[in-house]
Amino acid sequence: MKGAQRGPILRTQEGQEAACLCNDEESCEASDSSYSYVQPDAAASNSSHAAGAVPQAQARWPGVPPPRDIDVTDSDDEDGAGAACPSDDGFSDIGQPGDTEVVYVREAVAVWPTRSERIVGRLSLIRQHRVLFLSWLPYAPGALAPDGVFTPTPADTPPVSPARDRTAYAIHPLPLSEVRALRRHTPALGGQHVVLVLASGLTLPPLTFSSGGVKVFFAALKQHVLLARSAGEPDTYLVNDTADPLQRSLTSLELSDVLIGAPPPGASATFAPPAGLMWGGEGEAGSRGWQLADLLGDSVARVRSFARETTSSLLAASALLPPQETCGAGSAALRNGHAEAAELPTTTAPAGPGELGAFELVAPAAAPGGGDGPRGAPPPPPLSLEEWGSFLTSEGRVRGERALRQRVHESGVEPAARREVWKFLLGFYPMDSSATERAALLASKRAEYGRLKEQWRSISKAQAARFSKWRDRRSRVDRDVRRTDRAQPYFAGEGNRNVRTLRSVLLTYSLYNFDLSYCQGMSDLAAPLLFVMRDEAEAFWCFAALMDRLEANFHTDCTGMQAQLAGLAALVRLLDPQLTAFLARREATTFYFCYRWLLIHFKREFAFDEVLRLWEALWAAALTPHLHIYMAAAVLVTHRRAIMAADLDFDGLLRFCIERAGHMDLAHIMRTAAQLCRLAGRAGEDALAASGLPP
Amino acid sequence: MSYAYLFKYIIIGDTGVGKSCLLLQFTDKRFQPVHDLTIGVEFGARMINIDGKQIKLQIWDTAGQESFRSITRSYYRGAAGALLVYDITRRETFNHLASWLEDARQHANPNMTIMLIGNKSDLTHRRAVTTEEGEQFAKEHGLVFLETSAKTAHNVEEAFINTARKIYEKIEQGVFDVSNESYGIKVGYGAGGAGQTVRPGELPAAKSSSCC
Ligand SMILES: Nc1nc2c(ncn2[C@@H]2O[C@H](COP(=O)(O)OP(=O)(O)O)[C@@H](O)[C@H]2O)c(=O)[nH]1
Ligand SMILES: [Mg+2]
Repeated sequence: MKGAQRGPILRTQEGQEAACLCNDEESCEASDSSYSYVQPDAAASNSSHAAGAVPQAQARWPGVPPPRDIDVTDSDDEDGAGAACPSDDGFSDIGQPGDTEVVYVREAVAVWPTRSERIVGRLSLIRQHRVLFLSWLPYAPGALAPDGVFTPTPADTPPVSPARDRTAYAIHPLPLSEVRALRRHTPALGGQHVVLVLASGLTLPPLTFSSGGVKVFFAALKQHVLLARSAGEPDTYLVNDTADPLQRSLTSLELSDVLIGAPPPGASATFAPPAGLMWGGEGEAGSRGWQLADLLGDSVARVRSFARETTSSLLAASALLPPQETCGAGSAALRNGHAEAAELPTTTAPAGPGELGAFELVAPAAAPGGGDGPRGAPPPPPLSLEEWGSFLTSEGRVRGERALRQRVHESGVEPAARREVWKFLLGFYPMDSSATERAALLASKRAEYGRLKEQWRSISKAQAARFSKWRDRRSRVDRDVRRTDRAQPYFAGEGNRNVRTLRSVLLTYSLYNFDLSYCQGMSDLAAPLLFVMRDEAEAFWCFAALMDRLEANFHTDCTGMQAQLAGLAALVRLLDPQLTAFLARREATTFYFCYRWLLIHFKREFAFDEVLRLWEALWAAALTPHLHIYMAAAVLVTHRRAIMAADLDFDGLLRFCIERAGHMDLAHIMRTAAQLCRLAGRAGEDALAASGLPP
Repeated sequence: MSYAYLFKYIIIGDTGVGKSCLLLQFTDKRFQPVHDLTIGVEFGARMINIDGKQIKLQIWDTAGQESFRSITRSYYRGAAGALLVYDITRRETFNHLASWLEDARQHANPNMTIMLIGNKSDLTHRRAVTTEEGEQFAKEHGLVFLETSAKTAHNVEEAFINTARKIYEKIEQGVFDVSNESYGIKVGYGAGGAGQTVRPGELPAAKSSSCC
């Protein structure tokens, strides 16, 4: 039973069903107004619009505090207090989840795009699951509020680097294994600087420690990676490159494999940086606005397309295979009317990569896509508020949308940054909007929400008595918000206000989109949005944006869901002809057993905070706008052997799918889905389009 | 555990009438007023005993909303019994019974045993449908009728077990060809004769070796 699986269920007094959430319709309406949306004028000041917001109860780790005002008064000397090691740092307020730790921070490390321009930022080393990441993020060119809202610096304060877009220089968390070498320079004049040479051969712009601290930086590095001084060039340190290859760390081997070990044949020229392309010079690079992520992304894309070509030939080969007779045991069981198919041997080991049938050969090669870390290496830490700021131009427009989407897909967003970032991912805020435009948009949308809500709040009792359609709609919403995520502390307890806010959001939407009305499943989609936004109007507009994508799922003629299910069928046919043949024999090619997964995007299959992580990846659409369908395919394909060996019939498959809830490894399935997506490549997207899904 | 027969049930009726609560009360013997609404279908199972025979009930609890109907219909396939549930405190759920019945007759096998259930009998002060009306409807349509409370567990065992008894009688009378799975009945190894028992988790290959 679902309820039993999803943790503590809160008891209410009685299983009473009142027509309204409150026993008394009047008092319900009255209290409704007492917590109504924040007034439009309050919205303009970004600090107050979170009125009534409660600190996120779920925040697993508060974000790295946004940088203080840019302070470049360099007071500390060489090896001074600016550097931080875990033991004696001044940054103990940096809370981290169990496995992620900021092990070094140095403020005011600068990049000089030209001799006269300087971009100042924070250099840090982050350790996650024993992998070390380096990041340098320019200070946001404005103020970043704790909820991620960005306010540009007033125009009369000249930015440090007026001409250049600092976001282009950010180094988003980069595994040290992708760094081949570090070079230190001590010029006669000016600050010491460090140059990073990537495994791809690319050189990053020098990081200038104008007030010293290079030694400490190297000391911090040495605690976590092997640095070998180059014999020929004493100022060059090779990362992890000891004479004895056995001493290389496993991680390094895994990662460098990906970037250096497997370049496409004939493509090596494109892997080396074009002659003369060197960061930080006055040359082309800066003026053309190169972005590190773009450069990395390109080489990754090449590896990816290489993998895809290899793959498509393999796929072709697998399609040529006769649709094998399913395992002997399976077909014997097929004749056996007695077998209760659904009772899968519980000992069935979770499928490893070898379970991936026809494509198991190429699955590892598909890893370089960057989205899912090679061979189980952890992705970089989630997108923090600070890093979010580094994606914003001085006007607050997102720059590097592709890199941002990739980051979100790969690592997710820190709870503190979700409220802001989600509005972009969902499309409520245009990526290229400026902070000023967004403030205006939000204010007008707030007002509009108020007007929409007033439409139903002004329905009098007398009118409602003559308006059965409305009463019907309202009672359906009432019944369902009382049965939505009530095990979450945010929605728990009798008379919970957030439950009533959820009700208002859904009722307002049912008027805003009158033709669609309210359908079951919508409350599951809206609840996490309200939880993250902590604001009725914002939750409403995010929900409306989400429904713009998912509306077809709720059409009463079922065409939308039929298209989703047909898309899934087409994908599985493409990726796993053998499983498809099995399902055909079992008359289960409708894939109805995956209905819930696709309708509400695995909302019921994972824990609440995992759902947040999954959904932001789905919305990031870094690989495909249909990642959820690849996810469904990934689950089936991962268990293909067990499914066929147990010879599941339709009911067995249905039960199998229902019982996946709460027993799936989200990271593993997301990885597998991304692999399948790369594997299927164009053919996958074509198959989905042919099933009637929007491209 | 071995069993003589396995019956597939389906629970249908408007959303909110207490289908999921009935299932939970029957399988887990508890009432959980606050749980998630059903999307698609949920599953539950329990073993019962009729005339000394172990019978396993495999129960599918469906979502009641209209927009899920075309999907819900696919779950009717091969059900031996159905619990058609309404809420005695909401007349509209009683008014919709005819359309549910039509759905069931169209998409389920014609010999499916249907039990009509008026749930929430504990809420007597809010009753909107009399017991007589329920009895009358059941009589007109050839259904068995009971009023239940998923909250107090009143009649819940009876609802599921009486349905099984009906099905069992039909088997005894030879109404079903039990080797045809589309009737929603499977014969287990505890039925006597074969002398074989099946334990959950046993490999299908081992099962099939003892097949008829
Ligand atoms: N008083 C009372 N309330 C019930 C009973 N059965 C269900 N409920 C309430 O009715 C609500 C809807 O029940 P649910 O099982 O989700 O309905 P379903 O949509 O038919 O599955 C639950 O939240 C319970 O609080 C009952 O027998 N008595
Ligand atoms: Mg239910």
